[in-house]
Amino acid sequence: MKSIRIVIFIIIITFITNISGNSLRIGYAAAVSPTPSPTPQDTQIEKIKDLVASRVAELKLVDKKGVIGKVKSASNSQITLLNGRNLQIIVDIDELTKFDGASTTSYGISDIKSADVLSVVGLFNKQTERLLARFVTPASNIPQNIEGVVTAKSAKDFSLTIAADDGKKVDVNIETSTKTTLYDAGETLKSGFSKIKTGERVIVVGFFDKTSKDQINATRVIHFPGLALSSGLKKALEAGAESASPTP
Amino acid sequence: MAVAIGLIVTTLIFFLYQQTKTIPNQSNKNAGSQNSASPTKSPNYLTIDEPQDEALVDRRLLQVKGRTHAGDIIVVSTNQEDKVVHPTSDGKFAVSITIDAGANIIVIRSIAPDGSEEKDSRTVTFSTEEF
Repeated sequence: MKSIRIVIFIIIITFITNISGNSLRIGYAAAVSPTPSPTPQDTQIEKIKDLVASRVAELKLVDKKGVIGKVKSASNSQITLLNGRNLQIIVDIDELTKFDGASTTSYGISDIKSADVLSVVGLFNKQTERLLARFVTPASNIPQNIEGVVTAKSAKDFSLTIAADDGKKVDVNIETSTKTTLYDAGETLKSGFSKIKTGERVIVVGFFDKTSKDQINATRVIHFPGLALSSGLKKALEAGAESASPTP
Repeated sequence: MAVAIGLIVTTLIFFLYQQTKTIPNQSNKNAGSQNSASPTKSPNYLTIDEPQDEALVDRRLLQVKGRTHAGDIIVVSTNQEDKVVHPTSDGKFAVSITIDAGANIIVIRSIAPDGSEEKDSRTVTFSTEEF
């Protein structure tokens, strides 16, 4: 019983010693290294540090971006765009935003209409996910890029009918300026309209005809004679052949 | 004797107390690593590492880098040109392309020998304007 009392006494003493030791150490440390009073130079350094830190944080928050999108709505201070991935981008317009229309010198926010395709360069805020526009231009130089299978060919009109994976058909006008290439067996070769055959896989790059949305004026055509068709393209080709053959 | 026992007990209590301060998190770590399984590759896949979508660049010559199946062919189309390349044996590819001034849409297709295809695109704007 006596020994138990001694043990408890020692435990208590050890804890008290530990606690007092720690407080003594803290007191000693405080006594040895007193906080020096800041000099004017130190204050300036601290200010510069704060400025740099806030600038770095700002730079991390804002990113330069260039987007292309179709106008969903436009007001004097804001444009809502839908980009190629069908994501909505809110573009803020301020007094520093520059508008550059290729055809007109007085291009401005009032000239922007719904369904226009615009290219906007500006500062993208990652937190608010809004783009502060610095340059707004109509994106008229971007060609269409269509892939499909040749379902019909007209040597008379120098045109092709191609069907895409979803079965949608487009008439392709081949012009004298159209650059035609062929890819086969690992080689890209110069080609021509006469070498393109029905049933071949093609990629057409060009601009939609202003009069018809189903016609594209090709600037480049690349065809792949040796490449297999996807299941969607096979179906589109079969559907195209059926529609072309006369019904009995 | 009693003093020695007291010291031993105190030391033991102290060490036990210290042990309770640090809880080993090994089991949690293991559980986390099991959950984050490596992504499985689909029959057709195409990953574009460069350039970033909606990037603003000050050079007209760019590299399109990515990964796909080794047997596929890669067709990269820009506003100006089309490039057809084969990936390396590990499926990696890199294509040098030239872009127009202003906005560009780069279309990348990976076509498998059976005709199936994966497609992705990148919007890249060339500008040297300071703002």
